[in-house]
Amino acid sequence: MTDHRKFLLDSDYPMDKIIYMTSGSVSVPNTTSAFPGITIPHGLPFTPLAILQWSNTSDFAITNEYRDADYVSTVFTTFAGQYYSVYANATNIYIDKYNLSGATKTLYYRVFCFQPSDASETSVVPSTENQGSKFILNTDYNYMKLFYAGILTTVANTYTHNLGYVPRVQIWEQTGTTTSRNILGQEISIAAQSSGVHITDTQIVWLNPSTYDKIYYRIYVDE
Amino acid sequence: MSRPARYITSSDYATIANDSNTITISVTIPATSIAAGASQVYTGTGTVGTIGSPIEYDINYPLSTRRWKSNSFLFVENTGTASQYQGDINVYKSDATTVTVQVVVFYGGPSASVTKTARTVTVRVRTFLPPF
Repeated sequence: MTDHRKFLLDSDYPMDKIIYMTSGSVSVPNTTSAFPGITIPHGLPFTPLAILQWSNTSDFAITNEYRDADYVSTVFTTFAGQYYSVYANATNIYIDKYNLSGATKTLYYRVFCFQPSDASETSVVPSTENQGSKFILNTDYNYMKLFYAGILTTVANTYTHNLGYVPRVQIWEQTGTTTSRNILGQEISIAAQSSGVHITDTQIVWLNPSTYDKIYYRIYVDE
Repeated sequence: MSRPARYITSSDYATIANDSNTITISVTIPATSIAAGASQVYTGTGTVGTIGSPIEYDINYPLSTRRWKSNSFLFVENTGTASQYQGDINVYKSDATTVTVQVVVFYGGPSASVTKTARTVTVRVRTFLPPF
């Protein structure tokens, strides 16, 4: 009973809780470059950690989080296609829109959010819409067990998890008052210039911290 | 139910599930030359089993053993002659069950061309099930 990864549920670790969800669709004309493009008041008592899924079809058969297949063209410095990204502050969730695909696109978006680890435990968080009547566990899946949620700073830039394998990890950056998933990593042959967040079988490390104020992470027991 | 962090689980909140899909996609950048101002694109693909699932991934570019958590990844390599080439790695769903890794390599000069070092980029992709 030592391998927690094999459990559908494990009372040693909480299942992660999604404290906000929203979805919608908009038409995005060609040559759109709107930052932000969509503003969604979230009504939460803190700045949430948001994840975006987007698609050009309502069934989300092809689900993207950031760029689409055409975004990076064969010419390195010329970007095409679409990208949509999400970020949040204390009041709103924002979705940036960028469409240089050559045609009007329909953006279908889904946003779901987690509570940051430094939010007050007594925060009054409304229940996620309708989940009380939909909450069904499926034994085909392992429910992601939250091992630890924390913060990396420019001073405390390492957390040791000691799981012995590279676990699933979600990360967000905070710059000023906004949180976002758009995190740059760079590997440069002058090693001291490499930077970003990397994960090992024992640690999560923010190498050469710069650009952002802090990194929020959520480590799951799941591999 | 105003303190979700205190509960192991709660029917008031949705969650995410691990669908046990883990694949590794490799893309090799060959040791060929590239002209100043030119780009070259290399791709690799892998199949994941669940339609509509978002992906979580980490990237290893072989200058180190690090597995980077990033949705915007750049690499830069010096060539030893005051020149360098750089690249960008894009990971995306190219159809409902296929993940594609696209590596774009660019050389900006100042020499007329530069010879790249062969590199194999590996991306480990895992999918999970969203609450929708």
